[in-house]
Amino acid sequence: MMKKLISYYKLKKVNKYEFLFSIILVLIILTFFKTTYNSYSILLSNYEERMTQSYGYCKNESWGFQNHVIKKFNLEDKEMKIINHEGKVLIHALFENVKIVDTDFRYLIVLNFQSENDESIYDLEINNIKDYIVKYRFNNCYLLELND
Amino acid sequence: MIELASIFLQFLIFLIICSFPLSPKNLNRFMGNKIHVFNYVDCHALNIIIFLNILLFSSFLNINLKITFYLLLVLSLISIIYRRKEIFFLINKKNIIKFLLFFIICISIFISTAQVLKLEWDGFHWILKALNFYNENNIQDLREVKILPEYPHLGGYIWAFFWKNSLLELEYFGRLFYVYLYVVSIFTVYNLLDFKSDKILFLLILATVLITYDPYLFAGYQEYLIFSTLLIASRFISQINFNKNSPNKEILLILFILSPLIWFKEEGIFYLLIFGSLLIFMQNFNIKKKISYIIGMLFLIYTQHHLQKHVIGFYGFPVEFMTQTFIEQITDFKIILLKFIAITKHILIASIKYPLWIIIIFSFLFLLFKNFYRKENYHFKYFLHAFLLNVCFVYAVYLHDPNPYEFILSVTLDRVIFQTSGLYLINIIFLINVFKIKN
Repeated sequence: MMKKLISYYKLKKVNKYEFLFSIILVLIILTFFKTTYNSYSILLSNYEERMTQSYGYCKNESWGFQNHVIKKFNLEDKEMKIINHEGKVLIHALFENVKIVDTDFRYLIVLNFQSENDESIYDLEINNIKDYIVKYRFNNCYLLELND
Repeated sequence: MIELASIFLQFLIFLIICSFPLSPKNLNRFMGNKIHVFNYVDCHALNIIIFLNILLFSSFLNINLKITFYLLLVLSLISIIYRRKEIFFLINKKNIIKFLLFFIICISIFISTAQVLKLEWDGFHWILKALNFYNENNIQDLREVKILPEYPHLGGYIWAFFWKNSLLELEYFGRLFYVYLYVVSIFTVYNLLDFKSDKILFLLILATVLITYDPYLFAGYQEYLIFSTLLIASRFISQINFNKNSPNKEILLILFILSPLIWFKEEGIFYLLIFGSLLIFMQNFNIKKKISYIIGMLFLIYTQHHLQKHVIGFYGFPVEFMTQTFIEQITDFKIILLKFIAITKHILIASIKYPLWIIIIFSFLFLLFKNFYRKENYHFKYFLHAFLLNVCFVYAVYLHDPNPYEFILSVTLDRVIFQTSGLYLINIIFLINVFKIKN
């Protein structure tokens, strides 16, 4: 046991070429995976900011907008429908307690609404769209609520 | 800062949990090896396979994720304390540098995954399964999953397990285990390298990681689970002596390693059948014994079918076996020819995307040229036959698929090719061992 301990402390005597080799190896790994940049980015921006960077605020999958309205209007466990008008994948699975339904929804989130000329959100081809009022809007992203 | 610290902590958790129950001492004793054939990395890889089976079992029993986690963590810690002397004796220059390399690669990929958080297309299907378990729903609730409920759930369960049992409970912590398994599997397979120089070993490990790392596939896809499992299987297959009557333990161990494949993805059933049956048929057993092994393997598949159908309530493949379109296509020579050409074209494209495939093909060709086939090198024969059967499987799957083939081929074939390349990576090590430089 003691001999092992001694040999362990002898590790400090590393051959300089081996040391150089190890440093180069580590540098290759850190460069290839951009570890230093990524670490810096994680330190600089929190999870929510990075999620918004990845999925967009009101573009692409629009995670930022969804996260904002779900928190602001306390939409957890409320029945809602989400439409990404640009055809991007729906990412509601990333929100833990969101209830998505196809019919009888109280809230409707429309992301990246595509419009021409004077088309408005009420021109969307949804049966009872006129029954909803715009509760919050940011650029082309809308949160609509059923007007009881 | 807390997030970075949590990533380091997650690495430590993986390291502790996967140190249980096997150690080189008891594994080699169990396998009847007089010398230590299997080292600590092999045990770690095998412990992961055991861990996956424990998770599978607990998923069907609907045990709370936190309870399973703390139970495993406590058992692992006790085991580490009990084996502290054995672990202490592992501390030497070579092992420390190897561990540091392992640590730096793991942490670098962990941090990269944490920075690029975006899930890719299939990731949004698989996360629904993970969410089911994360939200503490039962396994029966998987039938409520809106997209592809018939897909196996083990990958999603692992995801949810570490998502739930991480310090910050962020989604990507669940996916870090895929990375860990991937890196461990690469280190395991390089135990077969017959070189004294550590520098070459480290360079080869690094080169393999650089060639096989694809962040897209860590964005929610399950391909790395199959890739890594096959890589681990190949390391243990290489230990089998095909000339002699291999002990039952060795064959059972490999079937045990291959068994989680059927719970990762649907094609896993075919991989178990192809690679498992080939292994059994190439053994020097009598036919009775071979048939009993095949029956055992079919029993595993039947169990999966039964549990999926009667416990989860969903079983099936996205594509039916006998459809009208398939019958129409199979009788039309022109369509078959066009499909065959398209598949070949996309295999070539996939090979450019994942150059590992090209290296594997070249290594097979070179070893064939070196008369490896005639030299009764059974390991080489096994991997070559497995490779050929795998290629036939790829053609059969896409010839059978009634969907518009150009689109399906362009979005799926590269991944199908990549996930099985883990099994043949060992061939490159055989090749390097041929060029052994004595130093």
